[in-house]
Amino acid sequence: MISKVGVTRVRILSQFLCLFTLAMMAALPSPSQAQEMERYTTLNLIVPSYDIQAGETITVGLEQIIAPHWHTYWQNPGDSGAAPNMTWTLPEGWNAGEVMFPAPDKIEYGPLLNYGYSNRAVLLQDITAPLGYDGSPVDLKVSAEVLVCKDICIPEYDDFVITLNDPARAGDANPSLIDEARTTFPKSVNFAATYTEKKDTFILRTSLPEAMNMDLINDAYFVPLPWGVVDNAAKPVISFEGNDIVIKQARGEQPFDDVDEMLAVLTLVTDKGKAHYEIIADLDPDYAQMQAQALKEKALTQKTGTSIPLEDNDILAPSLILTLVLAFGGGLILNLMPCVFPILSMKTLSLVKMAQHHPGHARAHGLAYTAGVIISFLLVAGALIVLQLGGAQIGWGFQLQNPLIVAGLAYLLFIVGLNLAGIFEVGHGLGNVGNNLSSKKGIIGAFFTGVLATLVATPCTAPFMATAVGVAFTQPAAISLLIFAVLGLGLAFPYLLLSFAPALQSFLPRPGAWMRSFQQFLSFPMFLAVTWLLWVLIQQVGDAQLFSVLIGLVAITFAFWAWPRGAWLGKLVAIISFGAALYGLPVVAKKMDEGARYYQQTKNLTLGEEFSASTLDYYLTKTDRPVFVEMTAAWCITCKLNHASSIDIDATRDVFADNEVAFLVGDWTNQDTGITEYLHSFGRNGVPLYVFYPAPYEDGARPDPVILPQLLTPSLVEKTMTADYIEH
Amino acid sequence: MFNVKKFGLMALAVGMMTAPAMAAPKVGEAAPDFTATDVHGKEFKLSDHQGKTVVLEWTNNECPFVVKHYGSGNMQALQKEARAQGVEWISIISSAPGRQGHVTDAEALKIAEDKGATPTTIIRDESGKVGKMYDAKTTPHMFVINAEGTLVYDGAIDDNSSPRASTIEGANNYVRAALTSLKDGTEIATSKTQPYGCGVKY
Repeated sequence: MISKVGVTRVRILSQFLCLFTLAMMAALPSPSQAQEMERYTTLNLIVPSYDIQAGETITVGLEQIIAPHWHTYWQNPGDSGAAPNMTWTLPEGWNAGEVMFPAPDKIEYGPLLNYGYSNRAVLLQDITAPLGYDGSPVDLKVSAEVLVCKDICIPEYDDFVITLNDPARAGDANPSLIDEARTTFPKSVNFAATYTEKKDTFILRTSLPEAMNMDLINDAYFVPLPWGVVDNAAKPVISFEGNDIVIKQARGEQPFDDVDEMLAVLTLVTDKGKAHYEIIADLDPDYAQMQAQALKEKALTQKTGTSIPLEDNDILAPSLILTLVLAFGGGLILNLMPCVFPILSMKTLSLVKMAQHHPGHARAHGLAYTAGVIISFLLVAGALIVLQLGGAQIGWGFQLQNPLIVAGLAYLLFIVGLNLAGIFEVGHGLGNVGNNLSSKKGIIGAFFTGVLATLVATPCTAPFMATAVGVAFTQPAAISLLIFAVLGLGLAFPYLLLSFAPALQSFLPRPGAWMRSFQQFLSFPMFLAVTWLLWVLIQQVGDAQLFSVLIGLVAITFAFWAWPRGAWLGKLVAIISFGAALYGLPVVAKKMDEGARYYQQTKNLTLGEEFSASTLDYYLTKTDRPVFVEMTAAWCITCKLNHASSIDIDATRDVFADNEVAFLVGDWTNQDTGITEYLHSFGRNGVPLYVFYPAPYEDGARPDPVILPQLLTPSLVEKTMTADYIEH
Repeated sequence: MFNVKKFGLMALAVGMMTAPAMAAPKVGEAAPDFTATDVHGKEFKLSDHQGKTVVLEWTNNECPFVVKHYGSGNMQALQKEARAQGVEWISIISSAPGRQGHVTDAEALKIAEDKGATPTTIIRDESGKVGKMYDAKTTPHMFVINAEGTLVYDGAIDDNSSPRASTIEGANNYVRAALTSLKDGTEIATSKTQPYGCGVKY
């Protein structure tokens, strides 16, 4: 027997129901109530049934009828506003559950965005009778409070009293309004969903069930329950990847650390309308791109704050003498580098030839060459110091982070290679590799051979000189320069020694016809070095720019071939070709930024994940996993060698997996402030750098990080990661 | 020889490339500086007030949430406490002309006087320049800046978003807590919350 609608209408006063309002006003007992504010919502309490037994639960609804253009709010109101409140006054033992909300709309409000409702919305709430309830009539009171806004906001309040088990209402039931309200609620589902952030962008990835036909979905959006996870007003970008929906939206201001549960309402829009799903997203396990600068800084101070790691090649404060010895030794070793060796060999052989006839010239050549090397080193180091004083986050090897320099070096080494191979002979200047024995030009030539040696040696200093170079930059400028001068002296020393000690020259092979073949042979290491530089370049610029550099190499070859042929025509053609080759360089420079981006997008870590200070901080502070950090660069041969020999091998991969090691790779091929800062925190100025952070002790504190040597072996890596780190 | 000046410029350029884009202020970072003319016609420059704690309060006298805190005397009491501690309290009205809460200088002063409010000064920001610089979203929306000029609190005035004045009692006033921590030299427990109230009428 359903005679009445089970709805209690306490008051209905609204702007758009004028007549009704007047009627109600007339009915009011006191004229002082004429002050009553205009209303923009009509609130009704919907009670599905007035019969309730002990322990039973009924779901009641708060209906909001909202004036056109006005809106009320969801649980997370968005940029402004406030969620509605239901304050119950219940007899002992009765319980009111949380207010449940229908799926909200996004409502634009000037530059702000709100989550809420227009026209009509019904909130639901469960009311449970106590187990000991005897079924006698009972009054439940609730005070409803709803904020309604258009361009201004008005809080509206209504008090309701419902009497359950009132004999007058026996059998009075109207569940249909509640059932209907439920259809506006998001469906609770267990879609797998993850969230993360990257570069100020919030990313929500939801995997829809296989059964769902993705083709029918026209659009999707989501509203997060936690505040401040997204910039509410920012436009989301939606993409579909198989059965995954990926929604990206600018990040909001609340740190993920403070988010308890990432509950969100995902809305799928199809031709048939909207379907709402309540999902709970988990923090992406690979999460870490916390961009908050504060966290980054915290991570850095943590690192520098811990005591100095233990490895013997760590160098925060070795004595100056030791550093100078290291620098000298490092310079000596540079002579054996594949990029330097051919030039030096030819220079040395020419020295022998020269010394037989003009010992005085030999000494002058040696000194000029040494001066060339040292001055070049000082110039590069000076530039770096000035840049660093200016606040630039760069380190040793920065030369090769500029594709213009890489391309320039490729041209230079290619020309040297062509010369060695005998494609052309040059009497002066650059080609002073074995000629001009007695002229004054020869002295200048020797100086520039030193410059050339330094230029071609710099790529090698990056990987091999990190220790000395790292110390150099932690010192006052004068000491830094001294270290570099000694490094240069080391590089020049063998040649200098030979030029001053003729006795040693007798150990060198006699000059002869074989020298020509040897010289040609030496062009091959040069071409290898060129190949390597071009490979570095691919990672810095796009393929179109690489093509222009390759064309440039052909043009250079042609220029040197054309020059001696024909009088003015050959020379003109040569000059034009050479000009064309040089023209390729600015193209490369212009494309540098794009190239770096291209590289960022296409580089694919086969092992590990991309390093960032916040990623590291995340693993160190939020997990118990050990962490292995590899700092590398495409132009760093040692890095590549170590990676291939000791890291990207089955044994090491197994160690990573068995110990749940988080493996972070920082790629310094291009300028990267975060990586430079990290290198600095270990007193380094270049790559490679390998750091292992052991798992925490029982009490949660981490042992000091371990710095591995710059030359790795598989057993060393394994030993470092599996050692017991005893509490001290 | 390399040119030092040129390298300095290069370094500057590199530095600029890595500088973050202008964005909403972050707690823990320097509060954005601004210059505005206050209701007395005097220039107010935030950075001139380094050395003192500064509270920025976004307000709109017709907004029910502002009415909640002024009608009850809650905001005035907090202002008095703060001023007694030497804190500078700046009330800012970012309502655009023709929108709710937009007032003249004289009206702003009269409203403050009628309410017994005692801010250090009041700034009318009808262009919304300062409001957008701080990403002020609601009235009230509160910011606390310490003596070093660092933003140390950004968010709601308290933890009860109800418009009812009766909910003030028992609510945790985040601004009072932040000022107390600054005074005592302790860490501010809650430094970032979701502001509630009417949207700022830009």
